[in-house]
Amino acid sequence: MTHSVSVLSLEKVTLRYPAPGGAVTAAENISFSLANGERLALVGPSGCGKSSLLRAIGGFLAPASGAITLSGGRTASKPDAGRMMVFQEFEQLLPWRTVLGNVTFALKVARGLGARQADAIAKDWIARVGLGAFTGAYPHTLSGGMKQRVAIARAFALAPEILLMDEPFAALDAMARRKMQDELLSLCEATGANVIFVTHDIEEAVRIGTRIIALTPHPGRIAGEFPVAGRLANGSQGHDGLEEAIRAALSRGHAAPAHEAVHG
Amino acid sequence: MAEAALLRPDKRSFASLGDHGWFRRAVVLIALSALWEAYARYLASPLLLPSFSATLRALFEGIANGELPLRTAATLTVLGKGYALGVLAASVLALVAITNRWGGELLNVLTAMFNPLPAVALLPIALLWFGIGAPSLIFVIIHAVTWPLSLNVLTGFRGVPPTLRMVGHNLGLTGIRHAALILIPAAFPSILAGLKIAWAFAWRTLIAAELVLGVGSRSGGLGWFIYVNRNQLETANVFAGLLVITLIGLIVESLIFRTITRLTVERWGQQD
Repeated sequence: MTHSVSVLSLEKVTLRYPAPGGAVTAAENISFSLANGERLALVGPSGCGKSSLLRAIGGFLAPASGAITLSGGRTASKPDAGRMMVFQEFEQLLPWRTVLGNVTFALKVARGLGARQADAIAKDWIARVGLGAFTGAYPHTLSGGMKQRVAIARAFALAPEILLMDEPFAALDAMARRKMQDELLSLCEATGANVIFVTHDIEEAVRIGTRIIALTPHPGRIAGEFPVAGRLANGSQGHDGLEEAIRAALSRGHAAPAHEAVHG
Repeated sequence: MAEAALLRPDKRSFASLGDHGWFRRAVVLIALSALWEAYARYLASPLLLPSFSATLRALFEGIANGELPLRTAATLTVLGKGYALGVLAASVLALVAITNRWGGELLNVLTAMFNPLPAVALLPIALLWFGIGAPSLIFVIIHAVTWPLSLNVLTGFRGVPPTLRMVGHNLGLTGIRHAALILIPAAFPSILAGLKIAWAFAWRTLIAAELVLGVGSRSGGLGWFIYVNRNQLETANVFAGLLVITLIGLIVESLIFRTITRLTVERWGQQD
């Protein structure tokens, strides 16, 4: 993070939803940026506005105030495949297309590729998520974890500038989640992808992120920012202190004293 | 089935044939036909109940002399026109309802009013407006098709998961392309169900309307054929007409729609 070029920056972004009895503020005065090659984990309890922030970055939701700027000074006003989302819901796959069809469809529609080129790229990515034997399967025949793999393959195949992941593993069982986290990490490291990963699970945030922003709810505010020291081979064991610090920041609402403990 | 065959490869017993649905169906059909034949012969009153064989004979005669194909064609032509116009009307209504709140309310009110109204009940009005002839029949078929279908199409569109819509937008799809590539396929199970219901309504409505109304002898359909033959006490012909109606219903419902279902929603795991 020393010579970092920013691919995304949020400046004093406030998000509001219309609701019966006045607008609800989902996130207030949020500023952060994403450096090239970074994986930013947004962590916090439900209602902290982390998913809304991701949607705003994706261009699905216009901020009530503040600015979301992409590289080259563009604003994130409309969704496009340069900021590809991976959702928590399994129904993000098109049920009427096969595993291969889901990925080639995205490549053809969003990247304008021809059938042969889309096919080659899609097959490569499907193999890389371990589903090489399932290219012809329809989504309803796959397990939840396999569906998420397809969605991840689809997102990576599009080679987006930023990958936006909205709790993609939250609906999986603990074993599958752990496995998927490891696989996602190795894909990210192999591609150097820029990722914003939203989760309510502090352990997951620490495993995935190179930097973590903790958000407190009602309305969503930044409670603290935590760089993650180099990943340890032994999973999260060495990050207990960091997890503690994040937990403390979330319960306190701000992070000032905990910040020092992180680097220890 | 395959396992049973593996276990007993040498034995083609009745029991293992009974594992096949088509075989059981054939046996039941033959048994019913035999029962019919036997009872008709015992009754010995072809005026009230012609035998199965007499009905078959009348059927083949009707086909041979060209009358049944002509009547069938007349019925199917009217049905095709009415069905196509109904589908068109339903598509337009559903489209308006999806894109506009007022349109949605319009469709709500119209379907609430007209969906419970049996199409045949509109026949007197149709006669008044369009006179005796195909236009009256087409009018009632449109009525039979439009309401259930537009309701189903609307339900289908509204039921498209928000996540799936977002995926489409994320890929840069908007407007017509978003509708064609995401919304319509996603709503297809509902649309297909609507087409099936609409067909069933249209088919039954048309035969009933033809029976009541006739239509001039030249362009009359199967309902008219049955009506005329009953008046002439040609009961075997009446039964032959009923047989044709059953067969067409069977072909459309359990062959055409069944095949479409198998190739689409069943393969996608989206059966209702």
